[in-house]
Amino acid sequence: MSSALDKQKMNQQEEEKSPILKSWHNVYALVIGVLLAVIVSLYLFTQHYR
Amino acid sequence: MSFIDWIILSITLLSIVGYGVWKSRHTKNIEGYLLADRQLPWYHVGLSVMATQASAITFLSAPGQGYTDGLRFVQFYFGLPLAMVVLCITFIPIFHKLNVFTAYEFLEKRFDNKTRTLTAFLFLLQRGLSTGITIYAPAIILSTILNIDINYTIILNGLIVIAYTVYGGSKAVSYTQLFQMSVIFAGLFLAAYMVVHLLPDNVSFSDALHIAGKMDKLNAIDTKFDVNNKYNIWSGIIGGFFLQLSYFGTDQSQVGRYLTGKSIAQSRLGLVMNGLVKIPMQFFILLIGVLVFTFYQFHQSPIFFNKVEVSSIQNSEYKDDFKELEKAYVIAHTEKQTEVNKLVEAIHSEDEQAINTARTNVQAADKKSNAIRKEATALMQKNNPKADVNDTNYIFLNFITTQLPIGVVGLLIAIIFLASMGSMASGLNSLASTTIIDFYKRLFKKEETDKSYLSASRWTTVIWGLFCIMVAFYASRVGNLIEAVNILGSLFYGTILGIFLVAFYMKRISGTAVFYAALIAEAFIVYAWITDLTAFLWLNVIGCLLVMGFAYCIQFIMNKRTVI
Repeated sequence: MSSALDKQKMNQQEEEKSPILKSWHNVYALVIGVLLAVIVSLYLFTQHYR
Repeated sequence: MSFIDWIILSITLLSIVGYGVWKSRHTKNIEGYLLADRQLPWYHVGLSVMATQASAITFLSAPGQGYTDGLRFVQFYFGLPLAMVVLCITFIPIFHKLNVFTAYEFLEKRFDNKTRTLTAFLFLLQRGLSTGITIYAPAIILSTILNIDINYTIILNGLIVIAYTVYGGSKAVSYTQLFQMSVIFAGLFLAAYMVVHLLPDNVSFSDALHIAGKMDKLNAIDTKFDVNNKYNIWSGIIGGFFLQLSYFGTDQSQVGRYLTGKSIAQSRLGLVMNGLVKIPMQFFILLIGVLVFTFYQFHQSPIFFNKVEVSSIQNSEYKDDFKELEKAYVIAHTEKQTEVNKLVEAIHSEDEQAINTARTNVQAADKKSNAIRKEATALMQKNNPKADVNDTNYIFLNFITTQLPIGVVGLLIAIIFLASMGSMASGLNSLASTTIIDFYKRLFKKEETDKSYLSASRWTTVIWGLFCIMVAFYASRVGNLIEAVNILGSLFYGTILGIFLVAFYMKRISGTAVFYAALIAEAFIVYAWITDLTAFLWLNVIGCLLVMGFAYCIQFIMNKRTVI
């Protein structure tokens, strides 16, 4: 019983491990950070050429 | 189109399609045919997801939209990265763990068969119509180039894609899309370079942006909140988030793409790639349209970009009136060009007062040109009430075929074809998957052999292909194609997303409650669209929230009755 739970836990950890940036949380933070940077850049772009 | 362009077009198309078909030659079972054996790496998944969304419409209609409406359409994609994050956290792990073929299979496991069937039916209706419109877009190109009736080109395009998808299935779709996107990116950079290169010597890239900006074309961000404004930052983030979440999370044409990933991590990375690349890519395509607009401030543009409609009025009783309008348009352009040159001088001298004066004059001259264009379209309608007076989809195509050098034309036309083939093939493949898995296998033939399901999948692809061709015949009446596809999606996606969100997050709601909630919500959305209650992007939010709200209320009433 305990071994099955351990295996399930290990699978879950394996799934949570991202091949880049150490964890999926960091990957999602990168995506949101890039989105914010793009919006700010486009806003400045619009203002500059207005 | 020259002989060399035809050669480049043919070689590009044949080599890429041939590669996809060759890679899929060992497809022998239903899992290989519908999901490429679930063995693809992340970059394959990411490019395939992007190629499915980027249809020919993206490369025909979006630059046209940049030309007429500026950059504001880019805001429509702001919700996409956020939707990718939610998909990675919630949808992908569940779909992978349940080992499903279609997203709707999950709904039967969570609710019941009627909810699964209703959702799959709404998807088939929406995707069948949308894929029909995507067949129409490249048919415009062939019709313009070969100068033949568009109905013949619709049939030709449709039959080629049907043949290729029927043979290769999902594996051929994915392998072809990998190379399609590489060629598409290369071609887009080439197109942007060529537009800038064709500007007058005294006009730099930065000057071109300044001119476009002074003519209100670089309106990438609009922070004003207005529910009736189609594109602002709020409708993009909130409405766009719901639309993209519905599209990528519940539309089988996309779910089928990332289910081909060989693990949860590979599927997730594919969607993350899409989240990072999509907005810059869309911005770039719109910017090409804006640059084409700047180009035509220095060069005479046709009064109307659709040559077929122009030729029709030139051979009618109104030909003299049209000729007069064309003359007036040329004079208006010459006047505008003088003002634009003054604006360039003012920009070079960095004199703010001169810039403002020149900008006012250029805008007034542009207004005059547009008024003449409007008169021309009114004349076309007078001549033929059924005339297609929206030429947005023809602007970029006209620019490619009349302004670009030999060789580049062939490559850019190939890109439009490739994009169209990628999204059409995914569409047909997903329609076949849903019909076979959610209807044929579930309701009619539960215990058939793999070979029998494979054969049925191929026949279903043919039938859906023919249906989409029929839809394409009527697509010319819908105006701007990219907007038409998004409006169509918004009519159904909100309801479908609502069903999935109830499934994921509202554990106490039963199948019966969500089923009736979805029916009521969909009826309201159709009513809201017919009565023009709000801008279409908000229909996604409203549909989704209505399903969740009604499902909660119906469940509450059902529970009370059970207690009584």
